[in-house]
Amino acid sequence: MTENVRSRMIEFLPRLRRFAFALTRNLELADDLVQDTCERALSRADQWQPGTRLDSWMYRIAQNIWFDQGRAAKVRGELTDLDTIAELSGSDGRTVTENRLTLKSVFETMERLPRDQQVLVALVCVDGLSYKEAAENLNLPIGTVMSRLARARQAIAAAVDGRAESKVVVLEERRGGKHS
Amino acid sequence: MENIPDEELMAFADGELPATEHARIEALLTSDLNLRDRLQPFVVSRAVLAEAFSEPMHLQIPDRLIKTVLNSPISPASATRLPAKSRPITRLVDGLNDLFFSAGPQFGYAFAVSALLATGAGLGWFAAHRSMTPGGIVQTASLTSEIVADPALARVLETGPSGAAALADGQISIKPVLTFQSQDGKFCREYDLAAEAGKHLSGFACRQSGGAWHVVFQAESKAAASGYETAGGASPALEAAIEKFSDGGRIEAADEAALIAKGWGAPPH
Repeated sequence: MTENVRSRMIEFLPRLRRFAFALTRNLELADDLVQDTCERALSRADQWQPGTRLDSWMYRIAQNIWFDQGRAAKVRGELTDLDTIAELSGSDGRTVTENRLTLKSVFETMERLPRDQQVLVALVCVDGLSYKEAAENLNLPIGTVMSRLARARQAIAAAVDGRAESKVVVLEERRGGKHS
Repeated sequence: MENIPDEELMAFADGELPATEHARIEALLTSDLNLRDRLQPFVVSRAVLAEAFSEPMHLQIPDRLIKTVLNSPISPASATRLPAKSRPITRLVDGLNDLFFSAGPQFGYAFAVSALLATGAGLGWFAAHRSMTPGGIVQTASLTSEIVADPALARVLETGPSGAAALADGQISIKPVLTFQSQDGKFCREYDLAAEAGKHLSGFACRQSGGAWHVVFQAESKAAASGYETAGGASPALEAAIEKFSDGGRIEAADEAALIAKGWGAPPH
């Protein structure tokens, strides 16, 4: 049974990293969170009911650790990985800039959302859980989940939409002076 | 015009509506431009979010995470079966004698009489009783009593090379001494524990198939009042216990390092 837990955890690692990345917006911090989550999950493996979903259980552990870390992380000042991501977005300068601005808007808007909304966004929009599963994870009524999630997504869409052409232009002008 | 709440539009975008309701909204959207505008943020946000955080899915998983999953101490599956006997002790600073033994209310500690151990008779592997000698305390426990090593001890046994001491909780030094294989094929490690107070314990623990380390034997190694220890070395009781338990040989440093590196041969292969 226990080896089964370990191998299932390894299969689950990519998704757990993505979830942690959505919460931390930083790959290094995400991996720290994943590591803490796995350690805690294994140390409590007896609490997991075989037959129930390992992913939901581990997301719950991850989000609890992340909630606990919230204050400390704020004090340290979180970093985001916009530079890394920009490199992945392609060689076309304009595409990079636009993608980067979109990501920047998404990251910044996520940052400003209440933490439970960030978790909801990560569970539903990033990982693809259903409203019901997300509601169970956060111990919230499904109606509450839907209204909070709707607000969070409106904020994110507005931010992406709101970073209008003008901002792209401004940034590209700056780029011309600074980088090349 | 019908007033469709935001939540329902979002559920439409996410495919969470029942078929009839989905079809109804779909029909409304063909004629209602305002409704389309309100739907847009939910479609956009989902696509943008999925893309924004997709990077970890394409990256290689770092070794440290794999190692964590393979090697982190696991709570024993038996904890639910035998709660009193296999509860791990989590507080290292409560006193060395209490450290590496679970202390369920009706279980007590597993002790054996030191005289018995010294003679090699009645080693008491399966004893779940306690008795104490006036001098130092000699403790022993059997695999069947499922005495789970403290997480800090388990961590050092799992990952530390023999001969290197590690400090747990800044107070207790844990040093694996040597590695051997038990007669039933488990990997076992002798270890020394030393606290600031000058109190020393030595013992050995064996790794279970699930990855948990169970303390098989542990005794004070330098208790002044006891006559069973040899200067600077393991007590005769410990040596006798290991001799009784091991398959005869000890595992060399290189093999030990290889075992540690692959998590003691832990699956998955």
